[in-house]
Amino acid sequence: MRIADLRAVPISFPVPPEKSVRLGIGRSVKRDSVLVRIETDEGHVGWGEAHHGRCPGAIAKLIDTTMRELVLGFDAHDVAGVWARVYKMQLASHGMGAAAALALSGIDLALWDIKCQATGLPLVQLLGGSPKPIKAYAGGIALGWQDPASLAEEAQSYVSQGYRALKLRMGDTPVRDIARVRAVRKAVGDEIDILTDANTAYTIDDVRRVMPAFEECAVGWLEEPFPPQDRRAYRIAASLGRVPLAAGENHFTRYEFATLLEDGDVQIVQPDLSKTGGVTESMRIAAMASAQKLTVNPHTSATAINMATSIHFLCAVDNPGYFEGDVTALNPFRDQLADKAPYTLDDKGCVRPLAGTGIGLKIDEKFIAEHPLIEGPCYV
Amino acid sequence: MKITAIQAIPLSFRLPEGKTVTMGVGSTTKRDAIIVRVQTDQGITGYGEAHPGRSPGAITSLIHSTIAPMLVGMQATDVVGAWQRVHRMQLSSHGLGAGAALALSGIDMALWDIRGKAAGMPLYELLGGTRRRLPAYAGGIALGYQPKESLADEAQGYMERGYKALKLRLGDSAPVDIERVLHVRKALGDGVDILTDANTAYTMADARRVLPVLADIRAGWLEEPFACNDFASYREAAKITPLVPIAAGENHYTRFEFAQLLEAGAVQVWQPDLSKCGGITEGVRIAAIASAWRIPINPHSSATGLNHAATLHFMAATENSGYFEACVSKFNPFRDMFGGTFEIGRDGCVEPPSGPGLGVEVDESLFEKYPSIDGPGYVVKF
Repeated sequence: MRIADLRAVPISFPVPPEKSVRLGIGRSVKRDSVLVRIETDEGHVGWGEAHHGRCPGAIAKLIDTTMRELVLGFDAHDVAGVWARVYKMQLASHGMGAAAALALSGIDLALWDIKCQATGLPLVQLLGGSPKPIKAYAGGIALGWQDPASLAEEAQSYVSQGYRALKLRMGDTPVRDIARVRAVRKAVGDEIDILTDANTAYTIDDVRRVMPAFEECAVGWLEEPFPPQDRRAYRIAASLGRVPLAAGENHFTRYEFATLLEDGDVQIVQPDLSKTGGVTESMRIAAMASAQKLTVNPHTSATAINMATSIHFLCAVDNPGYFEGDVTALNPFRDQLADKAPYTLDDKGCVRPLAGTGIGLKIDEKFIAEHPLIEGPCYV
Repeated sequence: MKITAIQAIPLSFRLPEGKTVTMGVGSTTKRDAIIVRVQTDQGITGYGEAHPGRSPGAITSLIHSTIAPMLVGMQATDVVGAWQRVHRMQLSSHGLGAGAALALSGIDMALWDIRGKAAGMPLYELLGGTRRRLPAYAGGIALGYQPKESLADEAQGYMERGYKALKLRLGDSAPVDIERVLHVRKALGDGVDILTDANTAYTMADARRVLPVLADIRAGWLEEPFACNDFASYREAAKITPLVPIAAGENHYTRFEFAQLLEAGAVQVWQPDLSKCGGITEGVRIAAIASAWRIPINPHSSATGLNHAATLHFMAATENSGYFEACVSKFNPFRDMFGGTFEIGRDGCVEPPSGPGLGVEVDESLFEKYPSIDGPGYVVKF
């Protein structure tokens, strides 16, 4: 079975100002995604999602030109072969680095989808796992910088929905960040896991200031205090307290995770299946982490495809951590891209993989046609 | 002086039959380059070159849709500020990584060209150096896989033009590579520095076989035996022989990745490309890191005269600069379209151009001759 066609389908929706959330990386004004559609010579169609890298047009271009040339005609079952080819021609030398990993991720997801279509199996079974409950936390673009009281109220609403864990956005100022964590802890009580994410906006001094308060509030992790390249800063931060550091959504391929694990400063590993190189690469990264008894807690991208795939993946590794539930107020890519929601939360705060072939979703091509790409950056 | 417009102009040409060169990254079928034009409100226009990353359309799209809107309106002199903004919005999180470094490199180079023109100074002066002679080696897309006799003939030709150093392409197969380097050393004698480049095509087993032979023939370095992110192999290879330094850098982006190379302790010759690593601003920082550890900087050259000129200016102002990689490709109109940016002397050296900024006159009407062809540009057998 050969890859007969491959194309990028970049999609966008505008975020109206009243629904916009401010994070350490800026204020969201629209959301983008780059879907990948692959067709085989036997008529199977697979869909994948690539993260947009804040430049969906460039990723789409990379997929439609260079990746297409590299992958067309290849055995559609040979995900490892496709991976190796793109690695050699884009990731080893002369390529676009992280951008290539993003594009490859979408291609790899689509190829796994095709493998499922061809066999009629759910992804979790093809990957060697079985459906089971996976703990979820309330994440996505939510719980942003706001008044502590309204943040506590927002947090409370997710607890009422069933979530037993949630992630607050930090990276504002240490004083405000601490006030927010304290207010939420007070509101939700001791049974809820409070996670925090600075989206690379902290300095070492900021971590020095927030760490004692975060420890006192029993924060579950501090995610991405710094950009991924700041390895010395991670090393120092890891020595400043007992709240484990988390990172991975900006680490690409097993090679960057190898360095992360060797450094040993990050305890919570968060590959994004639509960024780090797809299902194939995330399985390898999970294996690397499992040898060190670390859990994988995949970062969630924008659409139902990534979400549903991540849950199947978590059920097929022996070190699953949390699934990042997307509680973003407005996200049609989660709600309307397919025939049903990518997951439902049960009363214990867990999710399960969808039944049916593949990831269990039927993609709505009409919705895709109605949401063409809006050029430009998505955070300002 | 404010930035008013940033334009990416992708150019391509197909290689005529018989001019294709095969090396560790594949056989070239075309070459691409991205010219970046930055305009200011004071009428000064600067030019730079961004490497196409084997996907010129994607880099062009990135510059136009994402990076240009971030930088238009900023002070054209503030290269540090421009760098920080792109780092914040593309390199630190949620961005295209190396792709963003490529785009930034072209813009940064154009901003240096503008600053040089505004100051009426050639960049080697603005950067704090002087017009001095810089040793060069015969490189670029040349000296590729071929019978050892014709390889030695090709090498001999460069020596006759004045070159005292040249770079052979390895990564074909270990026995063939060994045969070629032994033959070229024998044919050319001891008066030439033989550098070697595997373009990431080696396995550790290949490195174990080839490195002792490279030590025997006193090769100047072995470049990129492995993929840029394969730190484990680089560390292991550095233990094989102390006599042949391992070189790398053309696929390492920003000072942060060079800091990691330093920490791994496995690469003794650094080769940042000013059209890839983040531009002149970042190249200067990388050179400073290297100089404190006595590591020489031997910049990798990209395709056009703009990159070549920028590299020469940068080297003339860098204390620890090593060789300039002179492009001796048989057919490279991108090198020649701005007039010659360097000329090899009998002493095997070159000099930076002397005009203000990059010192390169750009005739935009020439761009029409090289319309962009999208796609990777190398064909590889797997």
